Amino acid sequence: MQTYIDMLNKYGDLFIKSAMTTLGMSLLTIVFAMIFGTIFAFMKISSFRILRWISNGFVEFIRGTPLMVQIFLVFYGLPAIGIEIPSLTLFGMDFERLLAGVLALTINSSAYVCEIVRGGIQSIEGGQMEAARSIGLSKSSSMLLVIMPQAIKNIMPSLGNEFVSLIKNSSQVSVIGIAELMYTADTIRGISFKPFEPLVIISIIYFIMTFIISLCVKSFEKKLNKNSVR
Amino acid sequence: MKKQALNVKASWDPKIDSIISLSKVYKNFKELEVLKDVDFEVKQGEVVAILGPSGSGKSTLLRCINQLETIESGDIIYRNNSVSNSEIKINDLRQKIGMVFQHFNLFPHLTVMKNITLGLTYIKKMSKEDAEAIGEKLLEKVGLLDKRDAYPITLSGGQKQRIAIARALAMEPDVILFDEPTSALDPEMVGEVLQVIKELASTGITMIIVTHEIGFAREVSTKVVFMDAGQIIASDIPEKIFDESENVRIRAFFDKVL
Repeated sequence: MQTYIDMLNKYGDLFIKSAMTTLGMSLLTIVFAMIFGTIFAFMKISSFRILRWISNGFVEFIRGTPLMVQIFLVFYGLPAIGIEIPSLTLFGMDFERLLAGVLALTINSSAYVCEIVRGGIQSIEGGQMEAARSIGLSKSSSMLLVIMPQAIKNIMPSLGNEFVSLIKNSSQVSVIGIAELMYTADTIRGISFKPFEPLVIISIIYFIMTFIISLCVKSFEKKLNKNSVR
Repeated sequence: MKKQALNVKASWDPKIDSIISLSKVYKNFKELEVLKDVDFEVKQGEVVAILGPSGSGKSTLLRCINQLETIESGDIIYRNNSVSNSEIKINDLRQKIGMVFQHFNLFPHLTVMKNITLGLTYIKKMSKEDAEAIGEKLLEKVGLLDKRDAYPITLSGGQKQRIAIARALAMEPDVILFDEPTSALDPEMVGEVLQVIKELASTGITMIIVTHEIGFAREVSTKVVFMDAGQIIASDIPEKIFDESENVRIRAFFDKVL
């Protein structure tokens, strides 16, 4: 017990700072993943075959390869195809690494968000679209006014769960040297020669984060189901 | 392809020309022939009942009229505009042809009033006050003014269908299509919906009703169309179909049903 207290006293700042990094990256990622995931979702249900093809290919590939591989692909891949990332330091970290990490997480999460959004839209019964079209609403107006408001009720809880997954997955960007929670545990193990305690501490921190989000999702679900649904 | 606007001022004489006519309409779904060589005409003000066994193509025929289904060949004409190809702005057409569905299809996330006024405010760009004034009149007509701020989930089936009828009426269509409007209702609620449809029929609006309610069809319709296996096998005034038909299939159907 004493070891934990000592560790928290000594490295408490480090833990907090890296927890902020984890949260910050995850928040940034989920925002972009929601945008791109939604775009891919509409591509997947589009009437243009080429859009469906691109979207399907993207989702299948991302879901079929390990996140860690994707992280390395982005990190080594960007310079390899000639994209020069300005070397500057952001929040005390190498910008190139941060960008690669967030980018890889965004690409990965987008594929899953795409499926969440698409599933949410297609779970709305066909009669709704028919009714909307038969009073003269266009396809896009029907989507905006009738389908999406209902789909969002199904999508939001799943998005919350995706955010939880994201926070856990963010631990994998430690492999490219981003000083988030997992990397920090490794670092502290190296300095203190104590492998177990840092891991226990970050487990608790991860759990607190994901648990709070789960509670938010549950209460949001309850609020939504109060009014309508069928 | 630039879509053509619906030419509602195209020379059309309601006394002579049909408001809707289908000519040689053929539709198949893979190997299943759903509509075979269908000729069908409705004049303005008519109330047409479409009867027949399940699978005869009645609902499909109805849904082809507002293009919820597409046809393989043939022509569908609305007020002398050919609408079967999709060169006509389909959304404009659907403002003129309203539809009431078997399963109501009310928008559950909107109040009753919002369900009715959605088209008026969003498409016809009416102000909220003007739209709600129309909404209130319609709700009074169907006897549900007290439900204006309720959500569809709180309504019974009969109430939902009456709201659905009000929603269709809000856009002031020329023609209303009813796709088995009472088939999904508990028996005790069928009457209230049929009453609303009956009152509607007496206002002179053109109606095409696919239904299994034989007695209702006899009472309300000006013309009865009998379909079987994708074809129209009889089209006449109600008495001729119900009482005097010599067609074997028609007699067999009514014997089974009545």
